Amino acid sequence: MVKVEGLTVRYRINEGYFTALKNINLNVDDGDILALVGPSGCGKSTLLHVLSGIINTYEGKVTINGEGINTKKHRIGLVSQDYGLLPWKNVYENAVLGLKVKSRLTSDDRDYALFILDRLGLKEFIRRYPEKLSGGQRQRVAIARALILKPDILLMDEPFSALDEITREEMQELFIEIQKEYKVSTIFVTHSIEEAVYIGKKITIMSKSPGTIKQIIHNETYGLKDKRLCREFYDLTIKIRKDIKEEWST
Amino acid sequence: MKFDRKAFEYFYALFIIFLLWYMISQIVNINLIPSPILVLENLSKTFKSKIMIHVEYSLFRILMGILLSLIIGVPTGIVMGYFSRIDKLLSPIVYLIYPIPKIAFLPIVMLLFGLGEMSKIFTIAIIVVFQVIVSLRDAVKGIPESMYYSIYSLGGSWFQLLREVIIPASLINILTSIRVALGTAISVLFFTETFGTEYGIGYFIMDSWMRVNYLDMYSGIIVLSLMGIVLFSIIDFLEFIFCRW
Repeated sequence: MVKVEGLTVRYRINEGYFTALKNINLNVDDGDILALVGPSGCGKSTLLHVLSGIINTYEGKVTINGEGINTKKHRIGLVSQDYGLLPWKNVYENAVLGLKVKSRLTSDDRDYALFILDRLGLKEFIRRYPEKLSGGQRQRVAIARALILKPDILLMDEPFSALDEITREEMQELFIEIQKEYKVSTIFVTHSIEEAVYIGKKITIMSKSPGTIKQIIHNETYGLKDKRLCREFYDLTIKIRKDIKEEWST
Repeated sequence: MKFDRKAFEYFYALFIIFLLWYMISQIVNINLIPSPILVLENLSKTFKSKIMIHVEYSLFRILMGILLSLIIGVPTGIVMGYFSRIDKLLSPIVYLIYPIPKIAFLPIVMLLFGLGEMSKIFTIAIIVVFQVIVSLRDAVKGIPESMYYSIYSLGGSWFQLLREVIIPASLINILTSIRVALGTAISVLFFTETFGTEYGIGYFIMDSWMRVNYLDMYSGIIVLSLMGIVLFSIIDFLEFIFCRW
């Protein structure tokens, strides 16, 4: 379980401070997906950077399974918008990077890595370099890398926003399937309301900068099949859209 | 395949240069510019007996000089690139010393290190090391922050960051800086070999000149340029091996 209590993050700018996040409270139960939706610049990425241990100076309390974040101890899977792959490593080497940094690779690790890569349809590309992959394939490698790590928490920072629409929908479906299979606690950041409704079990709506939490919605359409063909999906999207229209526009 | 093409390009360049040289030698027709055919003939006759030993000395000095500059320059450049505080501290010093023609220090270097190999190697190194430092620092500065994030979030150590990200990301710049350094190193080498030694291709060229043996002198110049080609090709090959992506 991931718990964030009273999180405030300030950046130092010249003489003063810029408040990126203000009094954020949220928690993610084991195996759940929390979709976090907010306008650009509202501090969504900052929140993920706190959870992934990249930002260490903040106020408030952030715990994973009851302990303060410790990048050495916790397994944190980070999937970012630009995929975060290292161009000088091929697909396989990128995919096992997480395990390699944590400890020496065992043959079980290698088998598991190949199994996950195969599950994500990357088996034939394992010797390729990221340069030679499409955006969707790169993103699958990034997800594979995070899953292979068997993470305590999976952090996804607008992972599909650089993909074309068809690929994005494919990736969303694949991700939901995989997430159900492996039950990884996930925070999924997006600026798209549709995506949040499509993916999240809980939907957290953030305000404009400085980022605060406006609303947490339990997504009743979670788990529906062929969601994009269901009325409930659109109803909820429209409802959220109405709620935040004024909030985000000015 | 790529290397077949390279070989062809070099062959073509040699052909053009020899053709021009031949034409000039025929037009001016003086001792100072002998025909390349005579020079090549001389080269093939004397290379093993007379020139080889000088090549060995020169290669040793260049390689040691570059090695020394890499040993000092690569870590310094990386540290300056990654830690901006250290960069702020060291950059002014580097910029201040960089433009000084360090060849001017040759007499001092010779006093300190003697006339032997060390003073030549050291002179090459103090000239080349600044190019290595500056290009490495800029390469490391140019690595996007997001490349570090995956290692940070995995709790990787500084050593892992170095091995997985910083070194591979700047490897191509290390090779480029050696390439730039090499050209400088060869010309500095020539200068340092003109005194205090009886070995080295620089010595051989100058000595042949003094002895008015133009065939030997031109043979030496050809060998010097071939040494350059061989060294540059080695770097191209290393790039081909290590920077496949």
